[in-house]
Amino acid sequence: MGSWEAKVDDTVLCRCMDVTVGEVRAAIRRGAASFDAVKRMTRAGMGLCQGRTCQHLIERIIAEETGVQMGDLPPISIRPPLKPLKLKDIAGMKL
Amino acid sequence: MAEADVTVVGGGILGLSTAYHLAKAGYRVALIEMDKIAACASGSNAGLIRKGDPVDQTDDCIYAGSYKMYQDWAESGELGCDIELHEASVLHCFTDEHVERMKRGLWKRRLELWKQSGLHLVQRDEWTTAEPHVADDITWGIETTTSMINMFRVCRGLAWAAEKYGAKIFTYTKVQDIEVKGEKVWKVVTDRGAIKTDYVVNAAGAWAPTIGRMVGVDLPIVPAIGTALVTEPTPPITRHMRLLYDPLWHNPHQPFVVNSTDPCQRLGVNTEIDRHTMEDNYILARSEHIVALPSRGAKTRTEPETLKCIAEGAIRVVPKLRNIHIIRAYAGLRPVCEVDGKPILGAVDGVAGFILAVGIWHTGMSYGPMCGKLVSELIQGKGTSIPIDALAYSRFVNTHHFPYIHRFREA
Repeated sequence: MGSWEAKVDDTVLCRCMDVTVGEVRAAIRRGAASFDAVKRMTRAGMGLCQGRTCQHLIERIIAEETGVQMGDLPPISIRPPLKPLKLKDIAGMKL
Repeated sequence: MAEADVTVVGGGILGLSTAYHLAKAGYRVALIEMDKIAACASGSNAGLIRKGDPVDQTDDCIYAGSYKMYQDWAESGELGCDIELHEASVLHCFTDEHVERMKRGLWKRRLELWKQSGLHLVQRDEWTTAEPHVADDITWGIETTTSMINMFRVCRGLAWAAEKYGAKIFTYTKVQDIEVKGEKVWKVVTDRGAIKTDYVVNAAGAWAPTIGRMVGVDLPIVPAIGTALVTEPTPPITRHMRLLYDPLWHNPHQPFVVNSTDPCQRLGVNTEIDRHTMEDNYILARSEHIVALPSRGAKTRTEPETLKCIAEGAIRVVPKLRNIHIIRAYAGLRPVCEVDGKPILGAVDGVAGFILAVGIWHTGMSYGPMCGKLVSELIQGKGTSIPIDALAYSRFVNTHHFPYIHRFREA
């Protein structure tokens, strides 16, 4: 167990898309100031879990790098389905 | 008060390209975006671009101009990132019944155009790339290629490049008013302060009418919602990067029928199964019908009925997709000109300095880069490199004689 700051750049932060802390930091230093912006630049958060694991970790790094409080970051886009659904179940929805 | 030569309203592909070209030419540019860069239509599409158009000459020149720009950006690294420009194979799928019906009507003309450009209807066993998982009754196909880019990177890269040339980009900033003095724009008021400006470029996409009303300009732009589903990463099930199947025989100029009892027809759903070379997800699309603007913000909700129709369509074409998981659905509002479906570019009589760059509908990534360049040329007082008189606002004199969307409604 080390402190957060000690996390090295090659620690994998988004496991779904295999994105490291270093890649996220690089994106933030190039101007990505929100989770969505980091996602679009690095694909972190675009995988199976849709950012459930990495969103707060990424927002924490954004807060550290930019000095903006985590609570003041722009809201993220939450889209359906909230958990992965088979295509046939979407096709078979009773509306 | 801040000052800019040009204030661009809208951080989609068209506004970004305009800002980039003007900043590069030495203008002081401010770009105002109410959400994030590429928040709506520019961030919710499949990244498909067209290289040309066999029917319309203006479109053909604009598409070719944009494609050339993408090529230059990909080679030079001007945008500071890899925009992932790549060629993609396409298969248009048809059943025996479709091929029979193709011998008449609008599709006959389309088939002729395809033939002229060397594309032929081919029986399934002669496709250059076999598709074992396509439904058995799809017996014919037309194979072609298209180009794709990563629209997030293009838009982000244009923002970087514009900033590199001195443009100021304000995201999460809302335009509240545009003040006119002596029939000329002079000030843009936002929720984060005012900007004194000589030109205002209205590139607000689906929100363009709201911006137009601030200076008394009515715009015949309505929001058409486009929807897509994203699958989990999966090994390839299809071999072509894009499969198209159009069961409704859409007239491309009449993509949906408002009062139809068939939900696919009403929602303008036809099937696209896209796979980018860069990732292992499929993007399943598409739909198109007119909706209301969201009451606030740029967030566009997906509609369950549309998702269901798209899912049914994808399974119809590639049954094996039925057990693949969907991890996300998204939607964006494509700004469509309800008179003729064409973009509106250029100045407006009576409001000097107010420039329109709106209405690039569902071909935004193909129109956007070049249209931005044309608008920047207009502002620089140069002749435009492609004549765009046909796309001027003045074409709407007497439009009530041929309302475009109204034709959808009556069909």
